[in-house]
Formats: sequence, structure tokens, C-alpha cells
Amino acid sequence: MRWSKCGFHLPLVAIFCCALPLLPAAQYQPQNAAPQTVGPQQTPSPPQQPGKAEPFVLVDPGHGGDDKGAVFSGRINEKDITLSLGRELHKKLEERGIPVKMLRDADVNISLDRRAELANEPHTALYIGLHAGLPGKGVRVYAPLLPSTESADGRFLPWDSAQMTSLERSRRLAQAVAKELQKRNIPVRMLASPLRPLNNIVPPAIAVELATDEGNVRSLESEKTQAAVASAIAAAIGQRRTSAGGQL
Amino acid sequence: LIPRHFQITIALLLLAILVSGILIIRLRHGEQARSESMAGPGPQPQTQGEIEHIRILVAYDDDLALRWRDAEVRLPADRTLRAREVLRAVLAQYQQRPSPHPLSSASDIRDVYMVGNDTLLVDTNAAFADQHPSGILLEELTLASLVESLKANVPGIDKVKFVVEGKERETLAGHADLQSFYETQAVDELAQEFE
Repeated sequence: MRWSKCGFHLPLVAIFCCALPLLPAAQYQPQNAAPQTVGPQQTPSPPQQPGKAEPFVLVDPGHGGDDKGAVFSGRINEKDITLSLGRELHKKLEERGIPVKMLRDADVNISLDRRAELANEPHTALYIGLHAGLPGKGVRVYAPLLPSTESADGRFLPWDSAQMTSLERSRRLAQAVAKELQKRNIPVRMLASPLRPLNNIVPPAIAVELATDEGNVRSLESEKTQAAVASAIAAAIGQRRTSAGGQL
Repeated sequence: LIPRHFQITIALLLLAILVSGILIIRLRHGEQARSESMAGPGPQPQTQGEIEHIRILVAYDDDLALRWRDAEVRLPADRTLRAREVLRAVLAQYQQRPSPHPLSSASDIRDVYMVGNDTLLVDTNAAFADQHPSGILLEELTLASLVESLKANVPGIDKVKFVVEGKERETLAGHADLQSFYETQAVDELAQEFE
């Protein structure tokens, strides 16, 4: 009687045993599968066109969406720091009456080429890229560093050196921002860098990076620090506008 | 009712299937472990050539500087192979522990290719880019030290292009440009800011 019951279950055990060797294959299969993209919007909409053709400052908080940028102490993402700094800069520029747009104002994926395309749309007067990184202290201001200048062919600019016509103005803007930061006793270092997408942008373009050391990453989140840096950038842009007779 | 001898036979058969199933699983795991270890950095072919005393530019994260350092490297006469060994000598500095500019110990230069007389295509492995610390300066210090060391030890290279596992990438780790060609003259300008 006992054996008869076993006999009833034996075919099930046999099927299980035969299926066992197949399990590892099923287990490893997902490793080759493409990761699913969940959450953030994949294609950003371009900045809204201004009501009238008024030049504006384009603020670009670096990274976003799946691209976290640098991750500090395993919990603070560069993309979040750049977004809060970007919003602060937007506020400071608006307070000064300077037209401004955010290239991203949410946690979205935007490729570097797309950022450059959006920056090259009409009426962008200045591009300010924002970053945060280790190591160091204070702020680093980057002007573009171009490969030896290719000559523009007719109306077209080479993508890799689209910045060539504005390089000098970008350097002057970087110097002005560095000067304003120094006035506020914020340690600053000015550098030239082949940082994307600066070289692909036609109008004057710079990048501003909040710098900190590993042991002091909380300073990146400090509202006071971000407000001081945003205020310095806005002041430099304000002076530039004043010296250019109200033009950005 | 099923006869007892038949039940015993079935039971033995099932036991045999179970044992062979377990054996197959173990064999598969063993084979996979072997193939994974083969995929990693295996023994490198011995480099031919004389041991030379060269200078390489090394990044220091502590004070954000680039400094020349002496190194003894076996360098082949062939220009392309020489370039690869110079790059590996720089990476070796970053793979020591402690390192002035720590990079993953799995980072490697897969190969280098001369394009014409003055352009070098550097093919790195995935670990070099995937495990590189993210940050504008950290990335640029790596690239500047590699390009400047190449320029100092393999004359005639004017442009350097980096690819990862044979494919183009936008950036090294989110910041430094990997799509453009690095001109040694422009990198000089960048490196001087840190020397």
C-alpha cells in the first residue's frame, strides 16, 4: 500500500528530476537580457520658446534620469546637486531680471548631443553647465578647450568645434564668474576642459563645478553654499549684460 | 497493483536520474566558472624588447596635480606595441595600492592601432571606463596623463582617440569627452594647468 502511494508520486519526481538540468540555463538567461528602463522620461521636450525673440541664459543641470553622474558617499547623486543648484541659479537670474531657461527641471535623461542641440536653438545667449565632483574645495569654472581650430566650411560649423566662434567670450565669462566667486571668498580654480557638450555649443558656454573632498560631501547639499555660488554666477552675467549695454 | 520488483526498478531509475541531474548541474557550474575566469585578464603574452628607462606623467588626486615619474618598462621596437606598453605602464601606477589616482585593477589597454603616421586609436577594456571614478577632473587627469606619456615616449603621435571594447563612447565616466580626437598639442595646454 505504501509503495503504491509512492508509485503515484514517482512520475512527478521523475519530471522534476528531468527539469533540474534546465534550471541553470533559465537562471542565467536574464543576464543577457537588456535592462529595462523604468521611470524617467526618455526624450525631453525642448525648452519652451520665449514669447518674443528675447535672448536668454540656458542653465543646464548636468546628468539626470538614469545618468546619476558622480555618486558621493554612496547616497548623494551629482544629478540631484546640479538640479538644486540650477534652480537656485534660475531664481537668482530672474531676480536680476535676466531671461533664463532650464534645460532640465526634472529627473530626466537627456543625451549630451541633445543638450548641445537645445543649446544651439535660436536665442540662447549663454550656456551654463552645472556639475559637482571630487576632489577639491570651492568651485571650478571650466571654459571650453578646443582641438586645433578647423576652418568652418561655408555656413556650417564642425560639431566638435562649434564653439570656436565664441571661445574668447566663453573665456571672458569664465573669468568674470571666477572673479565674482573670489569676491565672495569662495575658493575658485579656472580651467580649460574638453568637457562635453561645451565644444558642441555655438554661443558662449562654460561649466561650473562644485568641488568637495570625500569627507565633506554634505557641503554639496548646503543651501547656503549653493545660493552663494548661484549669486556669483548671476552677478557675473548681470555685469556682462550691463557692460554690453543691456544685451546678454 | 504494481509488482514490488517493478516499483523498486522505477525507484532506482528515478534515483539514477536525480543523481545524473545533480551531476549535470555541477558540471555546468564548473564550466561556467572556468569560462568566466578565461574571460578575465589572462596571462599576457611576454613583451619582447629592451628594458628602457622612461618618464611617464602621473596624476595625483590629493593635490590635483600631474607629475613626471621615472619608470622602467620593457618596450618593443615596434611603435604601436611601444605605445601600448607605455599606456600600460601608466595604468600600472594607478592600479597599485595605495595609488595616487586609484583605478580599477581590472583596467587594461586591449590594443592600440596606428591610423596613418600621427593618429593612435586606443582600445581600452570595459573595466577602464565602467569602473572609472566619475568626475570632471578625475577623468581628465587620467586621459591627460595617458596622452602626455604617449607623446613623451612615442614621438610623432599628434592625435589620440579612445574607444572602449572597440566601440565609441560619449564620455569616460560621464564627463570627459571620448568622442573627439585628443590632440596632443591641446592636451599639453590642459596638462600644464596641473603640472
